Amino acid sequence: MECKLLQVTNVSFAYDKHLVLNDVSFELASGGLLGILGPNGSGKTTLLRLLGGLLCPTTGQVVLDGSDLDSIPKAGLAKRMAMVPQETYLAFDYSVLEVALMGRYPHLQTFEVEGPEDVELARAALTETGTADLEQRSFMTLSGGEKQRVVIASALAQFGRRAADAGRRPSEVLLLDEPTASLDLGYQLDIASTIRRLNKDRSTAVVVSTHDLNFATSVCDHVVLLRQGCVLAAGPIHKILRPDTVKDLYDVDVVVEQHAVAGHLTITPLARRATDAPDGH
Amino acid sequence: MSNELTGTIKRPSHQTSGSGNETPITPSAKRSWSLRRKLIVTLSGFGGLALITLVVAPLVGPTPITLARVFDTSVPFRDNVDAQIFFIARLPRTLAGILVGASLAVAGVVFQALLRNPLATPFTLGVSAGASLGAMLVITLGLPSAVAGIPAVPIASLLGSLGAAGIVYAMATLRHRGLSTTVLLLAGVTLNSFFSALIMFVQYSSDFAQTFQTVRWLMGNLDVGGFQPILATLPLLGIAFVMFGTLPRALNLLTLGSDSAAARGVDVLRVQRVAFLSASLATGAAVSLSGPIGFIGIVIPHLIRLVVGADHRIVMPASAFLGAAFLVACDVVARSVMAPLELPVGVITALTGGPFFLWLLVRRR
Amino acid sequence: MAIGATTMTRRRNWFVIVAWLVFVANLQTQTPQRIVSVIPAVTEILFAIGAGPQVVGVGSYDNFPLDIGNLPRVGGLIDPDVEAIIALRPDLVVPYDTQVDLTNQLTRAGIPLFVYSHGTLADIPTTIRQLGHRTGHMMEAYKVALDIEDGLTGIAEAVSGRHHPRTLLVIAREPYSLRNLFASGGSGFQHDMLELAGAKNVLDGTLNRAVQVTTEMILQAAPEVVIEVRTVNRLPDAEIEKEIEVWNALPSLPAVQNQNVIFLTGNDLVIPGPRIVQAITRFALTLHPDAPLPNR
Repeated sequence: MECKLLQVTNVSFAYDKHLVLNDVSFELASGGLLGILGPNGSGKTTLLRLLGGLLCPTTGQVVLDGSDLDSIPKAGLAKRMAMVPQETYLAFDYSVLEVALMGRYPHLQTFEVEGPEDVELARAALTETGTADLEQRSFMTLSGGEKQRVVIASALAQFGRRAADAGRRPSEVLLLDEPTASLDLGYQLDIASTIRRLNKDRSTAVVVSTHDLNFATSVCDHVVLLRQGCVLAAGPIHKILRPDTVKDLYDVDVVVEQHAVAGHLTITPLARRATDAPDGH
Repeated sequence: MSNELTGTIKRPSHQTSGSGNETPITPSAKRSWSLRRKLIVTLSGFGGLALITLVVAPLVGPTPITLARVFDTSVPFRDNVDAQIFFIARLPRTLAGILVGASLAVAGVVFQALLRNPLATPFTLGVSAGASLGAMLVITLGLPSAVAGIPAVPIASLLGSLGAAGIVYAMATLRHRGLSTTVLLLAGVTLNSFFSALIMFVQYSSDFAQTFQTVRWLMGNLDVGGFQPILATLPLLGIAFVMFGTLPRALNLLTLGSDSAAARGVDVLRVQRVAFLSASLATGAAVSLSGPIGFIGIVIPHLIRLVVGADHRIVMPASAFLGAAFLVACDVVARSVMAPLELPVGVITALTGGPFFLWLLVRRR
Repeated sequence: MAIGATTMTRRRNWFVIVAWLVFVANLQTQTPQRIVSVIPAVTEILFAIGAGPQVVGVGSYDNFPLDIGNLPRVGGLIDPDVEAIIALRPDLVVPYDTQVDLTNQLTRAGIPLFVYSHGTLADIPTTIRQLGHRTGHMMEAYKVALDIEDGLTGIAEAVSGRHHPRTLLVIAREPYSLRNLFASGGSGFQHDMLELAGAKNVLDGTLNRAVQVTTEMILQAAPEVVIEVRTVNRLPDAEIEKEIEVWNALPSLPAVQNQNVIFLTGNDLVIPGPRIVQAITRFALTLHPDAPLPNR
């Protein structure tokens, strides 16, 4: 019964002459939890931006729910696809509620002001990420973990539907770029549990790009391994994340085992592999 | 259905909150949030201020005049000195002050949002330097004194400002998909220096009287001496302000960064273009009317944000009103404090704005 | 008979004194043969007193008399070219008093200077006489100065007893607009010219030589006559008419109502030199067309 929500077919992308992604293909099922793994510079962020419709592929297609991403109007897309960047820096000082309310933008008409429903939906999103009591705080004074959760709430606010919204609720996709980079352990666990809960309660499909293997294993059920813009492997996590694939990805010898207490795979690095093979593919 | 809740939003507080325990908050304890109410309160406050300045300013100046004599219809206009001072000297100045003050203040807000930099001013990107160069060339080289009956200096300065804006824009969109705000900033700053050097060169080759004139032009002058110059810039400012009206909410989102804004459905490139064009147009028109008057574009936006927060839907109109009132007030001071001689209004805005700006910088870090 | 020690000393002292006197006298009678002037007024004066042949370099903004046509240019008030000046091997240079750097450099180079400063009308004959002394043309200089003084007296007499209209003397403004208008203030030689020509400067109360005048100030001053000075040699009549029309924006001015807005062109109007009498006569004729003026 798995319908393919997101299909990436033969996507290549180049910034001017520099090829960043080369013939990438994979799929995301509705309600799936996908991790894009790879070392720094493998093109993960670019891929995520392509998935979010922020960039157009040089060749190939990204299809969401049967429609090419290009053909979906921006506001409509924003109601069902949200992206959480690695870091959010505000140029000016907004309150947490104001930041959450920014997620309501795609739902408002040109000169429409946020109504009580929108405020409720923003508040609900804050509650979902456990930041409701920070509502009146200035965003810039929050800690890194709190900021991330507020930004996630702002993204969730994009999905909120008003009573007047007609039709079936569209499948939602949440994209997160390195959500745990520069966060300490406690916040990493918070984010992981938030993601899992969203996925379970709302059936939100989640795509996480990360270089932290253990974070990926705690959250994702499918992975795509990306190295220097090419897909090394893609598929269910237990099948794909093996010592030999991790070795290909990171040039590191690891041990992969299912952790009895944590309930998911853990990957322990052992030693760096000497690269005697020529670099690249 | 009314979109209004009762109550007002509070300014973001800086105290630390309690622990991260998520106990559900009961509705009665929640503070309600209303943009509309805040908008009404702020705008009537600042709008009232602007209105008062508009009404009072023409009555204040080195020559005492009374409203009674001004509107005394028994004396024909050509003999009524009070009326002439009011209608030819003071009222146009006040109106010019309102237009220029409002335009520069809002342009400042928009440039700061566009460049995501609170230190940006309407003059950062070289628009004002282009305007100054245009005016200077006409004054010094004695190029045609008028084109179709309109004095050449304002036209040349407008063309100079638009030219500068065009160059900067072209460079920022040259090899980049979309608009690179980094390139915009760098190109603008470079162009600023380049034009300033050209201005110095032009000044160097001008004679005594011309040098005097160009130096004074660069200090800014609201004494437009009639309604004609104001009417000439009104259409341009009108276009700019209409474009401003489409920006506020998008500028809020732009604060998060281009990607985050785009992910929320904002057409980032279009917003950046509109922001750049409208702010440049407003700045160019204002500078061609009164010469470059500094500090309004940076002091007013920050003052407003300190009071009302960062929501551009309130900041932009409030800045317009406060900018107008501030410039008109500075002009009244400029013409009254050393009567009958006049200080350049740019000196007054700098003397009040400069120390404030320094304080702002110290306070931030 | 042997001369005593004291007599020897006395004779030596006399010898030293006489030698010194001869030396100094020689210095003073050496008239400068290579004069450089950066000041238009001074250049004109030099030529007027017959010192023209001794001039080897003039300022870049000098353009009278025409005799200076091919002489090397060495800069002006803001941009004097020290190298060019020194390269001409001058034995007298006339700089402005405000050109401190230039005077220091020339002093270090050992070049004699005559430092000039802008003054009032009365200073012009004085300066002419001084230059006459310095350049060895005392006779001519005194004659020129006397002519000027007589001329000035003549004008003053011709306009005395008449009504001196309140006048605004406009030095510069933006074309086709009354913005950025500069007028002669209550001091300086242009003010003196105006007053001598039989006018009352409306800006008499101000101390500055040049004042930026606002619309309001003009309206309040209500001048009876407006004289605009342009330093170009000629302006097309159509231009002048259009520029005069600009004043119609201020209809309450007596000058506008009585059509007393006048344009005068020529650089004799702004140079405090030998042509000053001619310039003031032009002013006087404008203000008092029927006065018995000498040199009409």
